[in-house]
Amino acid sequence: MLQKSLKVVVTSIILMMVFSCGTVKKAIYSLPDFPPSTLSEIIILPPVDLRVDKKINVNLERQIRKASERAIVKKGYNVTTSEDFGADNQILEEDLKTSNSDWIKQLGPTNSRYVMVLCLVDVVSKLTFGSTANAEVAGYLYDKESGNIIWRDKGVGKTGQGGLIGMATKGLMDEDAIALALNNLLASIPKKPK
Amino acid sequence: MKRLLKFGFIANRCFLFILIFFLYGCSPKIVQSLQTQTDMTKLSSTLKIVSLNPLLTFERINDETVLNPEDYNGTEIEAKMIQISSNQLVNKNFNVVNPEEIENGQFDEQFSRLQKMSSKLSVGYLSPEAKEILKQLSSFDENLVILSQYLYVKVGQSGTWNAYSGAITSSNSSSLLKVSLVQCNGEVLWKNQVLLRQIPNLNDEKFKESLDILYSTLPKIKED
Repeated sequence: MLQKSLKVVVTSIILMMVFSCGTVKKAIYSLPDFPPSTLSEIIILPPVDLRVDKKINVNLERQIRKASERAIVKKGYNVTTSEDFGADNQILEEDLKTSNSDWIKQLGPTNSRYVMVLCLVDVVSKLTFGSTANAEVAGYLYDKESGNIIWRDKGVGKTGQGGLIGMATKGLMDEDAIALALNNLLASIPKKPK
Repeated sequence: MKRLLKFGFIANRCFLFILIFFLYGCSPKIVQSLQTQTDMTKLSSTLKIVSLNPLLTFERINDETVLNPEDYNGTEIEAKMIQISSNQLVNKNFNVVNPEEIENGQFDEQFSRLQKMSSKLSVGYLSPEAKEILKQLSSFDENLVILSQYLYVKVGQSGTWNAYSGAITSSNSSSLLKVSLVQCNGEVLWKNQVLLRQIPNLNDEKFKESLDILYSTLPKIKED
């Protein structure tokens, strides 16, 4: 009897693991019927800092752009970066959500087509009996030719460690939270079919 | 025995210290930023302030699902925001007028359209549509100034503690309060925003403090 229930539990766990590995996180928005194979080259523009609280120094280039570039390349896409943001980057978070096609067409280098905008929305670290950090990032992939948003999502990261170890490693927590948030964000980009 | 008692006393003090430190660390901090203040001479008692009802947006942090403000006492929060802003404006000698007093409510529709734009208006961002409405209002009275208030709440997960690994996390909910005074000619006279890292709660001192801070930089107009 015990053996049988144990078997059921183990099978369920394995099944859960298999399914969780196989599924892609659902993005907040993705253009219906858009095949990822058509994305010839994604150009990642300079990251935007949308934080209200800018107390923590963040290396946007390394922690956001380079880290994203590596993760997206791993998914099989051809990725490059550009220093030319094109349009006005003094933007509000909601402007990005409801971007109009005129603004989208101004983004990035003139000859580019698929451009990605990554934003750091928030990051905070706290010292308690230990330390914790939370981060929030957002990503947008635009098609300049049609002036549409192809993909839009958000990633949140929470980390922390209790006790003296946590207190001693407070300085590393925010970076860890950003990495987790970025991982969570990019999880909704499907692998490019070969 | 004496040594044991002494040790107990020290351990007790250490525990208290850790507890205070822990509680201090857990309390949310208020962050104020983006303050803009125009030339004081432009702020005078001749200006007629019309307060738009605050716009409240509650959404889940991880997927932006819009939540019902009523689940978080939205009506009471809105009333509190109106009460505090009215008190502050009166205390600072501003001439506050009711929207109903203006041309027998002719502008009701425009005010309600403007209120829906509060998320941008409250940071002083004027869309072409907002500019058009303000232009219409200024043709009626060029001294009209719009007070726009916005509360943007991101509802996140609460803090956790894993007893096996010692891993802890803290809540990632936040409330962003934004307010601005925009003259009908499109000039932003004053704006401020306050971030509180928790869900708004009227019984919580931190939220009350945040509301006070929001208006703290509003300059006082000299009485004639």
